[in-house]
Amino acid sequence: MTTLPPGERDAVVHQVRDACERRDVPSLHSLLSPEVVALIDTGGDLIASTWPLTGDEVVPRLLDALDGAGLSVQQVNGVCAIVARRGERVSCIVSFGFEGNRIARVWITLSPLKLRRWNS
Amino acid sequence: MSDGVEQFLEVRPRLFGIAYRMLGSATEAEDILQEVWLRWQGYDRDTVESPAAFLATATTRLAINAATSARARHETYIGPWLPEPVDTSADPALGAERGEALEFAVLLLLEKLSPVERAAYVLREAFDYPYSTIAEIVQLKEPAVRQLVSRARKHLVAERRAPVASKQQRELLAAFLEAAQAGDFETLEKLFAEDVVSYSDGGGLALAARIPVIGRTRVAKFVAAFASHFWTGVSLRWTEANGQPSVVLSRDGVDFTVVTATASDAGIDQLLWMMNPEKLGSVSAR
Repeated sequence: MTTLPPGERDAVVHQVRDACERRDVPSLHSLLSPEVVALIDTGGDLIASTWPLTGDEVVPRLLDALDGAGLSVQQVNGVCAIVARRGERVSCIVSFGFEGNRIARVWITLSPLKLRRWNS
Repeated sequence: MSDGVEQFLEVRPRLFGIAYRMLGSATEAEDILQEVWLRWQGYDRDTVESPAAFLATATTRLAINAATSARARHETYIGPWLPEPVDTSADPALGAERGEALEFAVLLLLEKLSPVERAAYVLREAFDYPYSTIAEIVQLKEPAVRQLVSRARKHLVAERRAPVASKQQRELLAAFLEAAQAGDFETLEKLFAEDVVSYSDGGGLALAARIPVIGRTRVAKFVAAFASHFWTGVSLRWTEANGQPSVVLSRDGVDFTVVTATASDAGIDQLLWMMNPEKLGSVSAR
């Protein structure tokens, strides 16, 4: 899924972070593939769980997950990802998969159990 | 005999890297390391020629077992399951020769391989183990291991091309629910594949049939038969369980069943009715 060199992928993730901070929807659309798929792990929460989101459904949900949090770009699983913190606590981690030079997969981890090691 | 602490600590990052890649869970990887440590403590260590090889073998074998039970757990997970993200700023390769098999994309694909296949792939691609060593660890002959690794590579390439979210599957499940609620036998028959199977996990509840119902006509009859009382006052919520389209059924605000459907070109080929209160309660466990 990766054709872009790692350095350029990191640059794209930084651009996504900046666009999320500005809540800049057109920029986000230009960084994501039109066929983007987002998977959200809520930790099995029955109420919050969703289908995989596709296309236009992705940006609003991404902005919602990151809303009001401080966003940093960090090395997660060996590549750049967005780590969202509310106060001291990590509330969400967003990882990305690439196809060509655009983002084709967005993986949003909200599960408190999966963020536990980030908060201990 | 030394207390074995140094030998363990020396390879600890590598052991964690093996278990984490195989399970996609840092929490479970820690549990495995704990178990390996206990076994190492209780072992006659003077008889061990290579502590590193011994510890890697124990870790891999325990991870293979854990992966088998994790698979069953992920099948009842509500919503998409993702690996537990790990901070790799200090150790970019996570104890490996290479940072292979660490990105979400690959970990999610590894989930679809058998545990032994996963072990062979991880040991080879991330840790550069010789095939002969991997063969000893997973207790197979060397040619078999070569085949496993090559098959795993092919799987991963093929999977990357496969679409993830199929709108068609969602539409099929939606059409199924409509027909099921209406008790519409004819439409149900049209939606099912010839060899459709309906499984129920009722956890011993009387309502759920323990024996799978097999075949287009029988499953259609079975579903149509309980249309009247089963759906009364039920509200539906769309979700996904283990990558498959699913619907959560609740009555009076209480979730009581998760229905999951898998489909092929021939139609819906499997229905799973998860009514087990214990499993419904534990979906948020991991």
